Amino acid sequence: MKQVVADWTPELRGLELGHAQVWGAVRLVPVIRPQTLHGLRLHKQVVQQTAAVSIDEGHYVSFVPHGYVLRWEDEQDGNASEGAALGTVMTTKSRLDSADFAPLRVVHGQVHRMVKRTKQGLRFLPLHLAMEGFLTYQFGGPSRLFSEYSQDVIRRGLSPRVEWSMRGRSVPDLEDALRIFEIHPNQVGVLLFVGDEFYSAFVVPHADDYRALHRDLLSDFFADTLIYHALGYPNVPDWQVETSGEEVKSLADIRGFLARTEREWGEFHRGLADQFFGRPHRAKERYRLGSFSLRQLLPSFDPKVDNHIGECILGGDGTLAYLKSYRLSAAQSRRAYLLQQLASVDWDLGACATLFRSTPAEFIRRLEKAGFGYLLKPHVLAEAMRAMRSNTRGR
Amino acid sequence: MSSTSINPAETSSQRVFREDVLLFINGCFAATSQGGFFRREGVQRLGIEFLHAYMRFGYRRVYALTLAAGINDFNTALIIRMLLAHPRESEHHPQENALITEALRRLPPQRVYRLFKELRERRVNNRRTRAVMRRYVEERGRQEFDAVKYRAGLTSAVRHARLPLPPELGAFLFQGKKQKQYESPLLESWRAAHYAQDAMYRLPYTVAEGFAEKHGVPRKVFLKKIAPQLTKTERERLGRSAGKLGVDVGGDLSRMPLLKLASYVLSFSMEERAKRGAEIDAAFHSAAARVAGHRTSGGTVALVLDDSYSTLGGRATRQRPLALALGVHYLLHASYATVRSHWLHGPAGPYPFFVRPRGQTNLAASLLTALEGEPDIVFVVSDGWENDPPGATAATLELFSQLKRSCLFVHANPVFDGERFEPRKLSPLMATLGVREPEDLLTSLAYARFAMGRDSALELEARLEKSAQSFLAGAGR
Repeated sequence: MKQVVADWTPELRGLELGHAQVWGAVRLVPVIRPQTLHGLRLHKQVVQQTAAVSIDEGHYVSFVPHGYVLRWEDEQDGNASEGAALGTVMTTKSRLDSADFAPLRVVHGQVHRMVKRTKQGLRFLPLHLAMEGFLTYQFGGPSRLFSEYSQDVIRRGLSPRVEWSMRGRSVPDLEDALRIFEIHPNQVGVLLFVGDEFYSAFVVPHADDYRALHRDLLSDFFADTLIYHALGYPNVPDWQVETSGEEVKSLADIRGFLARTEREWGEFHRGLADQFFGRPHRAKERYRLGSFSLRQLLPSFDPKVDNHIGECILGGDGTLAYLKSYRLSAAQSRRAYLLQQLASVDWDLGACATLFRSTPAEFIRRLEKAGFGYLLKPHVLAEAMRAMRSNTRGR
Repeated sequence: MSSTSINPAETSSQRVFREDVLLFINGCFAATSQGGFFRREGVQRLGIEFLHAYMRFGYRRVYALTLAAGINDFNTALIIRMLLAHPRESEHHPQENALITEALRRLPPQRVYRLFKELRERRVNNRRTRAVMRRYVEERGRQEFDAVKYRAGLTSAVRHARLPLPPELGAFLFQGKKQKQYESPLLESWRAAHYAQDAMYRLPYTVAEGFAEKHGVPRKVFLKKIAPQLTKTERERLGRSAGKLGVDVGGDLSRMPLLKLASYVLSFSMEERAKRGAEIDAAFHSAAARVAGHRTSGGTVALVLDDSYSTLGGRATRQRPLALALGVHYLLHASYATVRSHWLHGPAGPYPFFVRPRGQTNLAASLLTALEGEPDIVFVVSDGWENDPPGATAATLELFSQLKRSCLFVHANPVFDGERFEPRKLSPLMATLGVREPEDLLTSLAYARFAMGRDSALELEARLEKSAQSFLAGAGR
C-alpha cells in the first residue's frame, strides 16, 4: 500500500464544542456534530484480552480491551442509495448478536492485525494504531554500523521497545464523571481534561455510535501522569456564566448574550486543548475507505511542550469523522525525542552528544536513564558510567 | 446557612432564624435517605441527619412544630426519633407530645414500626418513649391485624416498651405456631397456614406471599386466590406483573395519586404508552383534578420542565425527578386557566408522558422561550444541576430583572443535596422549594413568600403555630 505522509494540524472541521461538564478532577467537553455525517459508522467489538498485535515490522504484545469495526460505503457503489440510510440506522440487539457482529474470539497469544479488512468492515484496535506509530518510531535502529551499538540492535532494530500506560478505569472520578455526563442529542465526541490538562480527544462518525461508545473511555489507556493530575487537582472549577455589567433592553438581548457566551466558551475550550489542535502533526495515511482516509498522527516530540499521538479518519472535504488521541507523558516524549535526535545525526553518538552540549559519557548516561541502555554494548555503558563516576569524584 | 433576600424590618438574628427554618422545612419536603443521580445514600443521610440535629439543638420548639408543616414521612419519623431521644432539652412537653401522637397517627404503620425498631436499636427507652409507644398501639386498636402483618415490628415494640397485651396475643407473638390453637380467626388462620394452603388466603398479601413460597404454590394460582385480600396500593403495584400472568387483580390507573401514576407510566415502554395513550391521559387528568379541586386561578403560568438525563434519578428513585415534572405539568394545567409547558427536550410522542430522561440541561433557553409568553408566574421543575451552560439561569434572571417586568419565579426541586443541606438552587432571584410530590407544591408555595423575604420571621413562626393548631384539631377525626 502506498503511504502518504504529510503535515496536518488537527482541527475540528464540521464540529462544535458544547459546554464542559465537571465532576471532581474531570472536565468533559462535548463535541457536537450539527450535520449528520453519512456513509461511515463505527461499532464496538469486545476483545478484552492480552494479545499480540501485528504491525509492519514484527508484532507487539499488549492488553487489547476492545476493537472497533468501521463500515462505510463507496461513493461509486451502486447500492449507495440503500446504504445512505445506514448513517441513521441503529443496529438492533439481535443483529449485534448475530454472526455478522459476533465478538472476536481471541485465543491467548493470537496475532491481531492492527488494521484488518473483514467481511463486516474494517476492524482496527483503537489507539493501538497511534501507539504503533509511536513505538515503531525510528524502530529500524542505527542506520550506520557504529561499534558502540550492540549486535542485537544492529540486527533487529529497537525490538523490544516497551512503553506502559494505565487504563481509564483507574483514573479517580472518571467513571462517575462519565456516568453522570449528560450526552447532547447530536453529540459525537468528547474532549477529556483531567486537572485542567488536556488528555484525550475522542470523536466518532455518528451520534448513536457515540452513545454506545461513551463509557469506552474507561477501557482506553492513558499516560500515567494523568493520575497525578487527578490527585493533585481533585476539584477543578465549574465556571459559571457571568453577566459582568451587561445591559439589556429586551429578551432578544438576553438571548444574544447567551449565544455570545456559548461561542466564547467553545473557543475557550478549544484553546485549552491547543497543545494538540494548534500544532502540526506528521500524518501518515494508513488506509483508504471510500472517500475517507485513516491516518496516524505523530507530534514533533518537542520536549518543551505536551505531545499527543493519535489516529483520525478524515472525509474527502476534510471533515473529521473519527479521532482518538493520547497524550504522551513527559518521559515518553523524551524517549522519542532522543531517538529523533539520534536519527538526525545518523546515530553517531559523539555528534549527538554535541547536539545536547554534553560529553559522550554524559549522553550515554542520558540514554541509559531514558531506558535505552540496551541499545549499547555492555562495556561501552560500563565505561561511560565509570567515566561519570570518576568525573564526579574529581570535582 | 443559606442566603435569601433581606427584609429591612428584621433584625439579623431574626433573619438567621428565618433562613434556618426555611432551609430545614425545604429539606424536610425533599430529603430522604435514598441516593440520587449525583449523590449516594450515605451523603444524603449524613446531610439530613446533621440538619435535624442542628435544628433540634437550636430551635427545639420550631423543630417540633415542623411535624405539622406537611413534610414527608421520612422526616416526620426522624423528627419524632430525635425528639424522643433527647427529652431533657425540651420545656414544651405537652405540645410536643400532642404533635408526636398526632404525627404518628398519620404515618403509615410500617414506618411507625420501623421507627420503634430504630428507637430500640438506639436504646432510647425513657418513660416518655414508652408512653408514646403504648398510646400508639392502644389507639391504633388493630392489634391482631398488626400482630400478623407487622409481627416483627410489634414484637420488638412490645419487648422494648413492655406493652401490656391480651394473653392470646402475647402467646402469638412470642410462641407463634407452637401454640395448639387460637381463638381469634385471624391468628388461627396464620397458625393453620403453616400446614394448610387454604388458610393463607385469609391472611394479608405480604404475609401470605411467604407461605405461598413455603408451600410452593405457583404464582399465577396464588395471585388469583389472594386477589380479594389485596390493598389498593398492592393492586396498583401488582397490576402489570399479574397482568402478564393473565390474572386481573383490579389495579386501576384512574385512582392512583399523581406522582405514583407518573412514575408508573414512565416505566412503560414507548409502545405501551402509545397503546394506552388516551387511558393514561385521562388518569392523569382525574388525578390532577382530585388535588386541584374545581377552582382554577387566573393568571398566565409558564412551566419549564427538566427532562435532561439526570432526571433519571438514583437507583432507588428511578425517574423520580422526571415523574415530578410530569405530575406538576398535569397539576398546574388543572389549577390555572392559562398554562404553557416548556420541556427542555420534549416528549417523543403526542402526550406529555412520552418524555424520557435524555440530553443536557439547557434551562436558560427554555426559560427565555417561556418568558416570551409574558407569564405572571414561572415554575421551573429541575434537580438544579444545570450544565449548558452552568449559571445561565442565574444570569438570565439577573438580566431579566433589568427589564423591570413583574414575574414570580419558583423552582421546585425534588432532590435534596446532602452536601449542601438543601435542594440545589438555580438563582438567588428564584425561590427554591423542596418538593417530593406534586401535591406538596401548593403547600410549600406558601413558604416561598418567606424565602423571598416578603414576610418576616415572626409571621413565619405564627404560621407554623397556626398550622400546628389545625394539625392538632384534626386529631379528633
